[in-house]
Amino acid sequence: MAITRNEQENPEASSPRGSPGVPTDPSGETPPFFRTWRAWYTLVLAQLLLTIAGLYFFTRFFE
Amino acid sequence: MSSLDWIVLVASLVFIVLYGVWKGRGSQNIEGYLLANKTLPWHSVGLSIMATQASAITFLSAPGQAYADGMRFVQFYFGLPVAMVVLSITAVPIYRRLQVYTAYEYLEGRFDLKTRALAAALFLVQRGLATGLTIYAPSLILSSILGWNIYLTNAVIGALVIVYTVAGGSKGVSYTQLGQAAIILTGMFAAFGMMVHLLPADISLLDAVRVAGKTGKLNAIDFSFDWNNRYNLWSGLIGGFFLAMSYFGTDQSQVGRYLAGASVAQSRLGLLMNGIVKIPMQLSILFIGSVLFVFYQFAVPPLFFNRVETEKMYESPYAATYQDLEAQHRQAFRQKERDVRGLVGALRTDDAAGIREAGRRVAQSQEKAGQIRQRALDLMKQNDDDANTNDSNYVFLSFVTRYLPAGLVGLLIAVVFAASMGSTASAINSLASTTVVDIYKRSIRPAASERHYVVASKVFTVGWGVYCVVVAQYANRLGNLLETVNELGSLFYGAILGIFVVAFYFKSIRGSSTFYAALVTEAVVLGCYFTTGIAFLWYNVIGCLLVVVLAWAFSVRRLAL
Repeated sequence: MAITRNEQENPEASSPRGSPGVPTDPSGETPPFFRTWRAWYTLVLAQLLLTIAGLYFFTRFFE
Repeated sequence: MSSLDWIVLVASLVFIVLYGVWKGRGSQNIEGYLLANKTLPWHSVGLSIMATQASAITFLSAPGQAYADGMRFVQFYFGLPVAMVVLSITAVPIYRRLQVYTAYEYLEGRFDLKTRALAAALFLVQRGLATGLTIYAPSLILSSILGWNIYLTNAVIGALVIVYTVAGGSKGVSYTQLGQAAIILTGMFAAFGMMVHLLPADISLLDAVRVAGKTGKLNAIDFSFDWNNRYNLWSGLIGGFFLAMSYFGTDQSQVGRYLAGASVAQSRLGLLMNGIVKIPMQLSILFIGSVLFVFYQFAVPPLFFNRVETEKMYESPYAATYQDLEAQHRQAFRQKERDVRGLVGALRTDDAAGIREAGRRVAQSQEKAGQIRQRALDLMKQNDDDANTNDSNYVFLSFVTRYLPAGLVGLLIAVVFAASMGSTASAINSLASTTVVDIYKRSIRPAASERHYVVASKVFTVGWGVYCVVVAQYANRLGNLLETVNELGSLFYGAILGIFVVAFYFKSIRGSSTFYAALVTEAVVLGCYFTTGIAFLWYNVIGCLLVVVLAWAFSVRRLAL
């Protein structure tokens, strides 16, 4: 996975613009969103929001 | 337990120990022994993080909690995914770049030796006590339900963990957790399957879920804000976030797990896996408790699930009164069962008025059953002021031993052992790491050989293992054990997190200001704990913010002088 290769022991090297959420590939181009750390973080937080909303409606539906 | 149960249990335990010893063999240097040579892939890191947090208490207490109180405990974990993201962005790259063995090592570079020592000491005190509880909790429950000797059970769990943790170090601990997770998943799925199978033939899982919903056992979300309410959305999101930040960001039992990742990416993915899987996992365990509640609407539950306390009542002067209450309890159960069946019938017809009326009747019969139980609890207290009247930890295992077939009981007992061993192993490994790296190597023997430190790590692992078993032997009457462990953590985590927040984000604040701020904060948190009724999750927020504010104030005053 590109992320793995890019961020071995020096995370700063893969975040030249000071953004730890956006690794770049060796060509220097910004990779598509789904291959960035930002995509992973968004996925985790979106799942949390969906879980809370889902649980709320689940509770309301069965109460 | 039958012979088959014993075979399943012993085979599972032998497998765990031998697998740990085998996978962890050959660590010749301190990095290999304490950090698995930083070779673990993300899924091992993630699994290890989860297995470290989920002790036997998680699998025993959580179903009991849902049985008694519904699923609102799940809100406790809402801050966790946010914390995983923040730690992946901030702490992971910093720890990895500085090549530290422990989180506290970083503090000396940033501040000074005394702040590093203070944070390490707070960790050792808190984690040492909590690990004792981690061993004690399942022993207590197993001894009560199966009649085992509690001291012997503590000693057996402790000894098994010490064997493979000493032999395999961090690598052995992580790989063992893989096998433990497989046993836990299989066991919990099997228990849930049997629970559904054992419902009356005319009650489906959907009926069970609808009854659980109508009786308030699916109440997962509570939007109301109350400082004294332990579990609502806000305490879970805010307090839970601070607790998770502190636990995963500064507690060496977790930091050690992801520092063993093969790269920054592997460590991050391990944390994020935890962020994604943790809430569904916890929800599943709580859901088992809610379904168990419905199961006991059709099968007579004991008046009190802790058999030891019940036996005490039979031998007391109140025996006749207690047995009379048990008879009333059975009678109330029959009425309640009829009412619940009425509710199921009404729910199937979708008749709103009928559902309301049936729900009202169920609530009435629940209340009556609750009053009888409360009289029994009062009687227990009257008989023995020290009686433990909280039986939520016994609900799930009591079901397992009473209703599951031979073989499965052994597997579920193996689940309890596996979960307890997984978190205990990580904890004593991290206690040994911190003792060796932050105290022994730093201040006592700074220039010894790698081999010497590996041997020292093994000696300290044994020492901490024995200490935790001794704590387990003295732990008693602590209410719901899952809450107690989290409560204990919350008293110390706020201050530790505050130190790290200052270290990461307030570059102008120096060591002495932070050190004294942490000392004052710890005193304030302990003072609040003993004198106010603030729900424990908020101590994480209060502790952290107080350290930051005080450290900043001390720092400004220092500059002014």
